Amino acid sequence: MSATMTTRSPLSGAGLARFTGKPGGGVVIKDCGVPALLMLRGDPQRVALSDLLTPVLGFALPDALQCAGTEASLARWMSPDSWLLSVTHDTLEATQQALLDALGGHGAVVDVSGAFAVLELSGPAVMEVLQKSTGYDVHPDNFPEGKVVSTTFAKAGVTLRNQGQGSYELIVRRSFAQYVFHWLVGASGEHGLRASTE
Amino acid sequence: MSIDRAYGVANQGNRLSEGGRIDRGDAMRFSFDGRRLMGYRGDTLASALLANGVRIVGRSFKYGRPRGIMCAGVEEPNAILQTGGREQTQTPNVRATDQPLVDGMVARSVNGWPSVETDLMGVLGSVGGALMTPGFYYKTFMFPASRWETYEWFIRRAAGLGKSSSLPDPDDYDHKNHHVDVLVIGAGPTGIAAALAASARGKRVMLIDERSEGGGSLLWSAQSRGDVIGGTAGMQWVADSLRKLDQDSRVTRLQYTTVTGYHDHNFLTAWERRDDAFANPATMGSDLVHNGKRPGTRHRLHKIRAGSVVLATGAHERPLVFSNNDLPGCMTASSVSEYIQRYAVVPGKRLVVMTANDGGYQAAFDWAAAGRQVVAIVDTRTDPDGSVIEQAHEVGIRVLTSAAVVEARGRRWVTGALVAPINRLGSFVTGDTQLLACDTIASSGGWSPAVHLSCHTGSRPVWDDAAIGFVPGPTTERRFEGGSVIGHHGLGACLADGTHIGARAAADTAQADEVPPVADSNTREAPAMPLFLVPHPKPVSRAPKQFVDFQNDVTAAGIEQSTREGFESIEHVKRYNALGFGTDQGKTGNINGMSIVARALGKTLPEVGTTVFRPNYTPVTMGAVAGAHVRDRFDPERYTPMHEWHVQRGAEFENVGQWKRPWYYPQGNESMADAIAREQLATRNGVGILDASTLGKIDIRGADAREFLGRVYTNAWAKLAPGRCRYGLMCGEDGMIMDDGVTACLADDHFHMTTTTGGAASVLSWLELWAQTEWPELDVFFTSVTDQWATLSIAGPGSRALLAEVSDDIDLSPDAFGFMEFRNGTVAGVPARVFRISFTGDLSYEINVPAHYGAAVWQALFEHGEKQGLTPYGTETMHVLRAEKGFIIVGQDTDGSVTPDDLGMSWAVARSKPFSFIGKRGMQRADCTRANRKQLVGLRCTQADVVLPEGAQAVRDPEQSVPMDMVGHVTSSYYSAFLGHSIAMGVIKDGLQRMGESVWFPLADGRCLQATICSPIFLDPEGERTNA
Repeated sequence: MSATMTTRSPLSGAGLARFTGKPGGGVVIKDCGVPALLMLRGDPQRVALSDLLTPVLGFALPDALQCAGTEASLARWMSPDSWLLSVTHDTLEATQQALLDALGGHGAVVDVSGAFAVLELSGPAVMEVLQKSTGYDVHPDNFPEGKVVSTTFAKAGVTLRNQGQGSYELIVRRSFAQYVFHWLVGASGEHGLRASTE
Repeated sequence: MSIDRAYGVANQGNRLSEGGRIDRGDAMRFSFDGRRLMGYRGDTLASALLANGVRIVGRSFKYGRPRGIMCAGVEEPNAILQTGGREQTQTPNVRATDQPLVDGMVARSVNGWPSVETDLMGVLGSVGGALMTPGFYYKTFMFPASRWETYEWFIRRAAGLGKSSSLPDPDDYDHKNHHVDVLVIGAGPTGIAAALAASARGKRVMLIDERSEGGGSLLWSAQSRGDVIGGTAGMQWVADSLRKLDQDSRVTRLQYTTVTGYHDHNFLTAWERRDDAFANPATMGSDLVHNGKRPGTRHRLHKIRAGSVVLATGAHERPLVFSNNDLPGCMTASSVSEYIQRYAVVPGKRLVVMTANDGGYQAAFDWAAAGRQVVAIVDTRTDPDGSVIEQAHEVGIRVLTSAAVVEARGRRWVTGALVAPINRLGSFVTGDTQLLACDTIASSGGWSPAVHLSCHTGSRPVWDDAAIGFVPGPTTERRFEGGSVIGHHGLGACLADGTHIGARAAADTAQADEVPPVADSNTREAPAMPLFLVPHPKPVSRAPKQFVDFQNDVTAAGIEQSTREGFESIEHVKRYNALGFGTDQGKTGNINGMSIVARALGKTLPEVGTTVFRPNYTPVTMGAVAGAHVRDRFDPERYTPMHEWHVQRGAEFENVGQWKRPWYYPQGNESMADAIAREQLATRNGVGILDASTLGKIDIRGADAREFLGRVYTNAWAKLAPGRCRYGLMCGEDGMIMDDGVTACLADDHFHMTTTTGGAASVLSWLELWAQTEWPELDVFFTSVTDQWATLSIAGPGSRALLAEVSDDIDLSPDAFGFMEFRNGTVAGVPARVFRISFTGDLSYEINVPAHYGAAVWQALFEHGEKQGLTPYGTETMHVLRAEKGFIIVGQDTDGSVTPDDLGMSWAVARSKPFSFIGKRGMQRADCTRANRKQLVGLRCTQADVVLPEGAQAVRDPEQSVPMDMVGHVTSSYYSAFLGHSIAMGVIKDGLQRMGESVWFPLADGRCLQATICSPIFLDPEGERTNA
């Protein structure tokens, strides 16, 4: 990769800067920049996926609606035969190749780092905004820490993860990112929105 | 107070000096029909109007009769007003009884022309009332149809319930989702008890109430009745209970929120009005605005998915039907109590109460306690023996039994009540009448359970003799109901019901073991009398009008007449009379109307049955329905990684699906046609660039990927080598084209498919459908990479030189990198997949880079290419360029009825593939192989500078008389600046066999254009430019 070229976050044109440094804020939004993401596909009914991949990943693939791994390498269950794996930029290519090798042709591992925007939502009013945006039951009874769901968010499709401590990860297709941000600005209006860089 | 002086100290003559649940320290100005008035925080618009002695609030719909406030809740049929002081804030259909008073509110009556006080229609109505019979609209305005517009103008002018703003709504609305174990609807004693019982079991509970504060009937009855619950005063129990609920983090409580729809599977919608007086003073109807916009969310629609639903919706008091019962001053008995107890407003000076039950007595007690004169209580029952009768005697109120108010007297409002003795059944008058002077007649015919929500899921209410009303019927939903909605009106019964059903709703077991709070009561109740229409000395048809449905001016005589005309089904009678058709959905009138039908037909009420209700229970603003999905958030706008550049370059955008694509890039004052001509020539003669990132892209991988492609595309894929690309046609099972695109072979088991922009999602679903359900044995996986890749398409003779400047690791020479090949390499220092494919017919490269590099690579291309005249072009120029080459656009040149053969693309159908392919069988249907199908051809207009209109229908004989035989139509049509003449494509019957023949296009504007059928390839048929 070239060090001379500039990468751009999917939200770079959305105007987050207007909301940085605002005091308080019932809702806090963080743009996680350009992610390092792999879409992993394989059919566990056809091959022993976990046996093949656990040695590479260091953990077993998560079951339905769960995540597994560490901050540096986290797999999210997306469907019975797909997982979204976030890694770091410096390990992405090697991980992709190692997974492909382990699969032995029975599956796919696609670099989708450019295909998604990753946001984090937190703040005292975060639940209010989630409730306004998705019909999914986001109450901790039903959506506890570590759970991952793909659902609708306003009129976009997103993958939501409860990261714990009142923080939620929101992954959306890149081309929808500004729409979702725009929606969040509206939905957060009554609570105050602050953009965070931490 | 200066505010008082400014408003001339409107004296609120009907306001008591103490009592009520209003804040006398917070005065509010408002106006009604231009009169400046005062009220207090805690008032409704109706209570404030009554406090100021306003009696006429509107004119009736059909007869133009004066009407006053009749009720104190959402069932109000008359006081439907218009609010809003500016055009933008106009709100029609506001029930004054349900609208908190807001400082600065501007309210107007809506019926009455020219005004409610002097109403021209009132004169017409009283003169011509006999003409306004039931079925009036059906009979009068049906014929001739050509006159309808005239009638409509007259009707709209004379009637109507307000007007909408002609300007955009300045306010914000939104939606909010909830998932709860138990939803309790109604925060009266039943609902509160139910919520307490459910929350005690640790459940997620939601308690919703339509009024500004909880308590239900206790708000107006607890104090005067001296209700005590569990040892504390009634309203104190309410306050304590609500506080307890509010402290439970698992309880959500909403006031001033109406559950308006009860849908299948316990999905309910509730309409919250957040612009109320208590929460946000500077809002609704008021002109006190900030920056031209009222702050916050005006209305919120809650979408609730509930495990169990508790209906504690209570009941609406039913007025009795008697002559002239619509005169201002005729009210329901409970609303008189509510105005006195809750708002400290006595609506008149002298009261006559008519009641068929014990409950009506309270209005008289409250009136007397307020120091005003109660003329008499007229009890329709014979020898009632409830304790209220003794109480009336104790306080010195005259009670007449076996008697009824048969007629109200007065011109503009009530000035007297004509009272007569009646028989035990209430079916006829037994003696002479006497006139009692009064200005208010409160009547109570009993309570109609508010069963509306129970009907929404298709459950029909059932008649309950004890309740003298319809109660909720059986349901398949997990629903519980208690209190007044099932005819249990006593406080003790409500609390017991609520505790019981709250516990049952929260638990899987059917039994509740806790003890409900005990209501202390030592009253003795006498049975109520089922009375609806009060007899008059004259027969119904001759007595002064006895109103049943006030909003639509439906009378007892009208209903009887419709039964004489042969209407028997309650559904027909309802529609013929427009009974219950108003915005109040007949909350006060329906049961009375049905009883009159029953009597006229000699049937019982349960035999006649009831009509059912649909959502919404009360009118809901359109803004709340739309929520925040409005303006620029109406639909997602999808942006490519280079979107900002296009914006800065001044591009005009075109919506393609949800994508915003640059349409063209005008310079200075350039017209669209000029811009497209410039973009086209620059590309054909030099180099142009198109943002093609929106193209659908699917990564396909697996041992059987190649086999899979062969099955979903019509053409062959067995021999496509790595590094090569192929154009593919995708058909549905019917053999009709559904998508097309170029697919590249990255490795033997790895392909990169492109689809049309609009087809991306549906094609991916299509592939998954076949892979998962039909061919699960194939080892193949699909991953959408549409968003992963930014696609920069450079085209024109200069494109190789430009690419060479920014890529040093790809051999671009024609021999090394041929047409329909792809290479991995770097472009502008970024890893890229470069495809040498062309949608323009010129030398062209599609550069794919990861999306986060897209903007930078685009920028780099311009840094190098600007000196070569690199010109960005949009979708319109793209259309012209591809049409010159006869390249189709699926969805424009095809319409779901076009096969590959129809397009002259049989070369892209490999009929001999060993496994079949999708669409093969469909293409073999007789209809697909017959002669005379419409086929895609080029069309050359005989006038070189005239562009045939797209969609224009072709005929072979322009002299034929209409209807002419149409043989096809134009699908794509442009002016080609490069060729110097117009070009078009179209589908013409048997067109491929008719090259060189003429067709004509007779147009709506009178022109008849002639065109010659030709090949759709207008430019470079040998492909020299493409292969350069």
